[in-house]
Amino acid sequence: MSTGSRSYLEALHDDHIASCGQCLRGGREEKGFESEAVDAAAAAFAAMTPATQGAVVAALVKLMRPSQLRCLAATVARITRVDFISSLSPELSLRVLQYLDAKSLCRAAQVAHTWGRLADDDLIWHRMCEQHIDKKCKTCGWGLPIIRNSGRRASPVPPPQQLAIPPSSTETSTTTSTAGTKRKRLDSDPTDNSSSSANQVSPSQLPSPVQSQSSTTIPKRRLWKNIYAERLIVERNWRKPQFRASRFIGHTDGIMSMQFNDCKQRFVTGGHDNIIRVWDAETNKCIKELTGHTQGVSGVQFDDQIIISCSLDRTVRIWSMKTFEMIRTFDNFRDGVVCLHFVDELLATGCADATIRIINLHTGKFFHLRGHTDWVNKVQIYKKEYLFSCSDDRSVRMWDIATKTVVREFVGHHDQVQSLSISLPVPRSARASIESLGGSPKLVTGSTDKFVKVWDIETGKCLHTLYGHEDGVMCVASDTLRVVSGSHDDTVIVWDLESGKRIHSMEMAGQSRGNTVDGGATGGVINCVQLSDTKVLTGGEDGVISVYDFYPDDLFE
Amino acid sequence: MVKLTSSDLVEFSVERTVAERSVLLKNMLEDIGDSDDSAIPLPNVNAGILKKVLEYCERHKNDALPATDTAPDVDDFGAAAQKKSGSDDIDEWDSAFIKVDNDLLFEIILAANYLDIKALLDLGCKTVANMIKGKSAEQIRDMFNIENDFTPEEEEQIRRENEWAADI
Repeated sequence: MSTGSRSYLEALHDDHIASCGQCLRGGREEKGFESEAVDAAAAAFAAMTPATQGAVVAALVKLMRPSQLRCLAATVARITRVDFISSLSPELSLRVLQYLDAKSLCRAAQVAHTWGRLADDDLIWHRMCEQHIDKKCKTCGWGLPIIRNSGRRASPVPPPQQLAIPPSSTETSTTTSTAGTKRKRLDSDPTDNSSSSANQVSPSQLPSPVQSQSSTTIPKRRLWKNIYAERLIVERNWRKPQFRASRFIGHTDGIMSMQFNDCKQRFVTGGHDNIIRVWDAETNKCIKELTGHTQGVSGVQFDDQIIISCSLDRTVRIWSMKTFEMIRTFDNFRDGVVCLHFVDELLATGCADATIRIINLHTGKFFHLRGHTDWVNKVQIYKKEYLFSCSDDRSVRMWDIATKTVVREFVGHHDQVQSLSISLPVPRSARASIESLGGSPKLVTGSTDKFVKVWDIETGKCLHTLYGHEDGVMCVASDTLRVVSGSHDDTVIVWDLESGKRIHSMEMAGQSRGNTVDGGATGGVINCVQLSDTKVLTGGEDGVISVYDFYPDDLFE
Repeated sequence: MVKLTSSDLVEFSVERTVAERSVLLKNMLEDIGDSDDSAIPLPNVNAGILKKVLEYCERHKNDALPATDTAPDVDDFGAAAQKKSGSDDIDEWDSAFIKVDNDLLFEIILAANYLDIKALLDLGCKTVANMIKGKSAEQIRDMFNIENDFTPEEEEQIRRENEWAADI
């Protein structure tokens, strides 16, 4: 029944209440009704054959006064209102409820106990999660972020396998993309790059405790409805934007590089002060300082076992993530090393001498990719077969590592290209009707020309040019849903990956400018940015680390 | 032609393609074979409902039959939901057809389920879903004549649990 007939019912109902005063209650009060007569008539009616009953009803209807007719109509309307959800079998009720959106389901849950049990059904909410999480639902156009470590914060204990995720491949060292790292799932992920791996996790593999439950018997179980709610709130916070910002001094000089792994609650920074710092992301406290580099640390990346750093001092160093001792040094570079990215045993570095070096960490063998004519600012290995690079020579290239040749150039920036990041789409699931975020993988680049560009990796076409920064873009990060860019103009802008629209900008939350942090320098150029499902981290030229946390404080408490 | 007998013993005669919209009848007809032309009794469906259901089947007799996949239940559930996850995609004829009183709609859903006519079942369920959509809990109670059996404390608790969705 539509809303139209609903208002008709409502009108009848009101009418009934008005008229009933006359036909029943009112009658009783004024004259009283003859209850014997009523009983006798009812008994006589009951004794009749169905045919006679029908004739009597018809005759009565003809005799009735308008007010009595209205009363009858309202009564009939009320009696014929069927409580579908309670009357149908649970299977059929769920079939009805599966067509509801989240808001309607939540309202249905508040109707009565029977409704609540069905509207909170885990299967329904599992489906809602599948339809929305890390992808855009075709029906409503909504997408919710994956939150890999969600178990950590909500009441239940995260399953062990979640904690143990080794990022077989992590982020690019310095400024780039992020989101991916934390999303790495075990070693199954063949692609290296951060965001890409994230994308490869299908929603059904979401690391929700519910699933882990099946494999390990964890006592407490998170309901899919709660998972959905959590992600929806986070998504809402992203768009509002609503976040908790913390700012603290990270280095005594500018921060050059940063990598954040939300799963492990660690991040690592490298600074112009020659120091590498390892941080606890929960407390934002520095837990270790690694010294050894003799010039600025331009790139860092870590996984469970190691941290690799590169520096303008012409070395690349490998450190133990457990003991924090330096394990190995590569010192045969001819010029400063500007950036690095490793996936498993494959390490790529970009140098000030315009070369890219690919090193096999197992064998120690290496070779070069030559073609750039100026500093190589960022490299990112892709599927362990390709490598993306961007350079001060204004070019962005995709290389075939095996043949050492450029397979594609991304032409469009007018100045030095400072940073790049890869966003893989959600894999098309068996459920064909759910659209992934637009098919092919995307490359995001940021340049001193003030623009961020989004490219189709397959075709090399520029899909979006993101206007908004008033000065050069120093760093970009991206995941399946968003792009974040940091600039010389002191702002960080969050963009929608698919549409290229600006979601909001964080003028360092208005806190940076002129605000000293623990007596530190005032806000300034953003050198590096990292993005996760719930956080943006930035490192500034002023040595300040800013953390913007979009995860709600008071979830389900 | 296929003969069907309703629960109140009214006999209907319909084309086989019409009857076969019902997976239940289709399977029965295949089992029976052509030799037997006696009426099939449908003890769960009365004449009024059967007439209505057959009207739907007649209209849709040339539609492609839904794939009879053997996916597991959960999957089937999800797939069905996603294929037609919008409840707004009801065509004009169907929408006029299903514009009936609630008790009749209820009976149609039961009959469609019993006769295994998936498209009609979906239509019925979507129609009910559309009645619920966008309504407050109180409006839903009123519409379906439901008693609020929560204590005030429970009601407040549940309201808080669902607050996150209040302003989606």
